[in-house]
Order: sequence, then structure tokens, then C-alpha cells
Amino acid sequence: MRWLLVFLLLLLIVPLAVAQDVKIVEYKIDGTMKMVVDEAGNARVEEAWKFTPNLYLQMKQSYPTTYMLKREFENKRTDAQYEGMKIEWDDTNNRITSTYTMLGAAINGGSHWEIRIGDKDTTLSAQNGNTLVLTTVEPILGGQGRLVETITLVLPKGAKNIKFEDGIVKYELPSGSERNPVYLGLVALSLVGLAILNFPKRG
Amino acid sequence: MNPRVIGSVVLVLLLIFGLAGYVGAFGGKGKGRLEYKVYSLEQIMSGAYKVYGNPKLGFWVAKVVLRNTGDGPIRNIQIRYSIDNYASESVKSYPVLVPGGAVVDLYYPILSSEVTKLTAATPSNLRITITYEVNGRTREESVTKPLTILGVNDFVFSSLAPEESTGSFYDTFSNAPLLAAWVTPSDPVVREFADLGNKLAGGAGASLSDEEAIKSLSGMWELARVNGFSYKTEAEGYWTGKFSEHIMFPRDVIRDKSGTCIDLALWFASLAMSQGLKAYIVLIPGHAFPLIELPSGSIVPVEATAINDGASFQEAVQVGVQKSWQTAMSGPHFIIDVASLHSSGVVPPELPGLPADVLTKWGISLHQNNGGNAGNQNTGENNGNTGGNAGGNGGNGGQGWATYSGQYFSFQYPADWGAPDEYEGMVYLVSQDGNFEFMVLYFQGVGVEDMVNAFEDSLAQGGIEVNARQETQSTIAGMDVYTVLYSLSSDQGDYAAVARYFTANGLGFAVVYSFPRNNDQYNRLGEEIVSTFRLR
Repeated sequence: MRWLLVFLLLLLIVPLAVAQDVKIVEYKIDGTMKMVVDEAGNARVEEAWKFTPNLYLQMKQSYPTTYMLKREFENKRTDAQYEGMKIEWDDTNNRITSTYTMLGAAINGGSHWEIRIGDKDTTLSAQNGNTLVLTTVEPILGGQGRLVETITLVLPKGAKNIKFEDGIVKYELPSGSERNPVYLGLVALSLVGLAILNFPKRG
Repeated sequence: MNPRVIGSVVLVLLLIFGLAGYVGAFGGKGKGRLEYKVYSLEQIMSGAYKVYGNPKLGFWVAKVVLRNTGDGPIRNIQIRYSIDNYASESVKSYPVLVPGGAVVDLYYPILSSEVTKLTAATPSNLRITITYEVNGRTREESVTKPLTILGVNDFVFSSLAPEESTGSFYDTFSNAPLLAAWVTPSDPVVREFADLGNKLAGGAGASLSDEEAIKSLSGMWELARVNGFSYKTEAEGYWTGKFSEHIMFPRDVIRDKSGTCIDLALWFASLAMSQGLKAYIVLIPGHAFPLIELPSGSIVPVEATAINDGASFQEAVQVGVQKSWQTAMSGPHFIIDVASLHSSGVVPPELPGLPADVLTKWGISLHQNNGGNAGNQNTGENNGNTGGNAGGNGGNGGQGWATYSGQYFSFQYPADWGAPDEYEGMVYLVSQDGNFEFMVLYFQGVGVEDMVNAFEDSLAQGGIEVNARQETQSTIAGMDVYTVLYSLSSDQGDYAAVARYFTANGLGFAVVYSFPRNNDQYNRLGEEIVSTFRLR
């Protein structure tokens, strides 16, 4: 009559069955960023984050005004320094779009410039001249989600020896602002003068 | 003098001037001008002091923004930082800042572990010195900002400046990930408590399987329950000028046998992680609770404050699922992945060493303390009374009696029957003719209601119909316990069953016997066996 044996199995299952109902949802946001770097190292940025409809609604509930959203990016605790930020909800496409200037995006290291794009999870997808396309994955929402972003990085004209390693873009930029052509002209003029004065005349 | 020599000298001077100018010796085209702004933290939480030295985590202490608003370069910039008494000087260098350019420099100090000895907020100073060369001269700017090093248990939920905060949940709790620094699975005190809990559970390897994990968690929960752990409330604090709370480390919860919802969540998460399980802390407005991930990946929400009501572990999980988790999912919440944050560098501080027998000194024991808050019915007097019926079975039926003696209980049964079968959580005895069954079911951390529900569900699942059930009280092992008399039918015939449900020593029990209906002899035999039941 061992029907009571069923009991034990069911008893063990009770707390585990409860556990089946609980799932931690990992959010994923797809982002695109176009970053145009000027010769002084500042960058003009256009960025868009696309959400799932559900997450978009949650975001709008959490940040009911664009001020709150703007402040989230622009507050004093951010790692970077932004200027002229404009940010908008795009309900039609479940997106947030923003434009801003990032000060000191590139740092002049003397012999070269450096832009820190991400960490070792950042990969270089393509390069065409001074334009690089990178993909980066970053944890967001306290680790509860991740942002997968495609970054189009446009370096200043004249950038050369462009390298990308460990999340850092390095490049060299002839510093036209410091090499004043007037001085170069004086050098050339004095060399020509010296040659004329000191070159032995024939006959 | 020869005009050619004079001309040559002039031209050589011109050449030198041109070359020097071309390489920038005269400061480029114009004059550089430095403008700077300094942003800094007002407070450092010493309990999480290690996070401030890790640039990957982004919890900088100072941000210096330098801008060159002139039209010539600024060279050899050096920024020196220090914090009085707690961080020695560190230097950052930038060779050149071109006109129109900017540098955003972040300060991540390597703080002295001395900060963990602070039990109250202590004032200090953040000192910043900027030196640079501009227009052929060296200049220096100095800034001193007041900085408060908070006590090791002080937690400020947001570092946003009051004028920037909107008061929303996410603004108010922007420092929430730092709570992971208060989860201490490696603390010897926590590990010892967890080991005791496992002992109470009869030995469990939490990382082996979901069943083992539940057993282990139940054991730790029961250890807390029998030792009278309780939930306390704490008013919102603003002694730091922002929303703050005094957060206890798990060892403090064990010492005090009480904690707020956050304290209890951190404590239980620490215990689970000490056994190799992943844990999360969920923060919702006004509340916090832990989630435990079982080896299969299933998630168990635990309403840790239910310890206050003497709830079983299963009851705490049920409240966790039905109330706490549902509340979190229907509103703003943070889920803090403790293991992930630990691996990224949000790690606990060094805690002072404690004597090896500290749990004993704190009165933590495997047995229920007087005044403990075991809330399930009929458990209050289980200890000390179990011997009351000993020896009362000597003459039962005139037959010989054998004794079953297990880890948690013992009982006697007719000697000419086969020995009981032992299963995980169950001892099963059947008469020679197969018509009488006696079984003791026990499970770590469940309550009376859990046992009743599970038993009656199992009857339904097994195709056994309950024709009638009568609730009553009866005794077992010196306790008055909840008892149900069942009238059952199945394709094997009509049966009666008597089930006694109770909790004792952190275990939920069901002592059940069944027999063909109206067979008084087996009914009496069942009562005789029950009368020999003893808790160990």
C-alpha cells in the first residue's frame, strides 16, 4: 500500500516549484553613437538608445521628464564632462536620442592622442581612413542589463598612425596649430640668404 | 666689418629664431589660458572604501576639468591629489593642453585601511594642486575641499548633490550597488554560522543540487529561528545630510540576533554565498530582501524579515514570492548582483579578527533558546519533555519491541516486523501483512501548514480520495500537536489515517499511520508506536 511514499517527493518539490516562477530579466539596449573628434580633442556626439517596448515604458516611468534623463547623463558624478546636451524621448521608435559635446574626449599625450572608448570588451569592426567603427558592451542599470553600442568614431583630418588596442584609440596629429608656417618661411628665407651670401661666385 | 659677415650673422640669427619659433619655443601663435573646475565628493563611505580606488567602478572622489581658453598651448600640467591622513599624494601628468582643448581628470584614491576603524564621521581634507607652464612661466593653483570620512557602518544611498536629485527612487538609491561591500561570505563568523546551520540540517552540500541547497538554506534559517533572530526597524537617517542608514555587517546581525530588512538581506545573502550559491539583494522603496540562486539557476526570493514571526524557511520563501517579489516587479527596484559586483571590485573591507568561539560567546547554539520565537504551534515545550513517556511501552501487546534510533528521533515497533526503511527525510515501517503503515516524515525549515498542504496534495496526486477529515489535538513526545484523522478511499480499499503535524528543532514533522478502516487493533497499535516516539 505504499502510496504514502509519494508524499516525500512532493514535499521536496514545494520550495523548488516556487523557485521556477522567479526570473531575473536581463535588459539589453541597442545603441548607436557617432563621435566626431576635433583637433582640440573635444567630440561632437550623436547617440541613440533603442529599448524593448517594455523597458522603454519602464524608463519613461522612472524618468518622467527629459530633465531627469538629461541629468542622469550630465550630472556632476559622470566620468566625462558634457556641454550643450539635448535629449529626447522618441516614442515612435522606443528610443532615446541625444546630442552633446564631450570635452576632453581625446587626450594629448605629447607624441600621440588617446581616446578611451571602453574596456577589453570593445572590438574594432571596421576602419576606413580616419573613421573607425567599434562595438562595445557595457553593463548598465547596476549590472541588471547591458548596452551593446556601435560607435562610429571620426578622427580629425590628418590623423595618422591610427591604432586600437585594449579599448583605447591612439593616433598622431600633426600639430598645425603649433607649427606656425611664418617661422618656417623665416627659416627658408634665412637659408636662401645664407646660400646667396656665402656661395662662391664663378668668375 | 665685412658686410657679407654681418649679413651672414643676421641670417643665422634669423634661422635660429625661425627654427625656435617653428618648434614652438615662443608658445605657439598666442597665449594659453587655463580655466579649471573641481567637483568632489562630500563623503566617503569607509565600509566600501576599496571601491574609490578602482577606476573601472567609476566612484571617483574628485573630478578636475581643465580647459585651455587661450590661443597658445599649456604645457607640463601636473595634478597632485591627497587626502589628509588617509591617502598619500598621487600625481597625474599631461604633456600639453592645446588651445580649445580640455582634460577631464578623475581621482581614484588608494585609501588607507585605517578608515575601517572609524565608527563615526570624521572630517578630513581633499587637497588638489595643479601646476603648469604657460607663456614661458610656471604657475600653480591649489584647491582644498572638505571631505567627511563616514563611519564603517554608515551608508549614504546617493552621492547626487541635493540640487540635482529629483527625489525619485533611482536618484535616492544611486549608491545601491555599494551595498555589495556589506555582503561578507568569507567572514569566518559567517562561515561558522553557516556550518552550524548545515549541521542542524543534518549535513548539506548547497552547491551540489537544488535539494541540497534548500536543505542548507533551511538549516541556516532554522538556526537563526531557534536562536531568536528578529527584525527591527530603523527610522530614515539624515545625519550625513542625505538619506542614510546605519548598515550592519552580517557578523553584527549574528551578534545582535536582529537587523533591519537590509541588514537581514545582507546577512542571508552572505550565508548563501558562503555555501557557494549566488545571491542578489533586491531594493524596493522602503524595503529590501535577498534572492538566492540555486545550482540549477532557479531563483528563490526570501522574505528575510519573516524570521521575526518565527516563520519556517518555506514560509519565508512563499512570502518572498507572493509579496516581496511581486511588489518589486510592479514598481521601481534595484537588483544587486552581489557576486558580479564582488568580482568587479565592490568588495568588503577588512573586519577585525574575533575569537574562534565567538558564536558560543554570543549565545548561538543548535538548540532552541528560552524565549526564542519559534512561532509554529506546539513547539514551545518540546525540549525537556520528550522523556515523559519513556518506558511506557514495555508491555504492549505482550510482544517484543525493537527500537529505531535515528539522528532526530526514535520510536519502538514490533520486533517481529522488518526494520523500517530509511529514506532522505522519511522513515517508513510496514506490518508483515502489509495492511498497516507507519511513517515519520521530516523536513528542514518547513512549518506545520507546509506539511499539511504537502501531505494532502500528495493524497490527491496519488488518486486517494479524502472522504472526511477531522481536526483535533493529540500528544506526541510530550507535546500537544495538531492532528488530523482522515477517512480515505482508493482502488486498494477504504483506509483511515492519523497524522500528527508539528515542528521541533528546526524540522517540520508529520507522523502518520494508516490502516484498514474500522480495524481497531491496528489503530491501537498505531497509538502505541506513537507513544514511544522521542525527539533526540
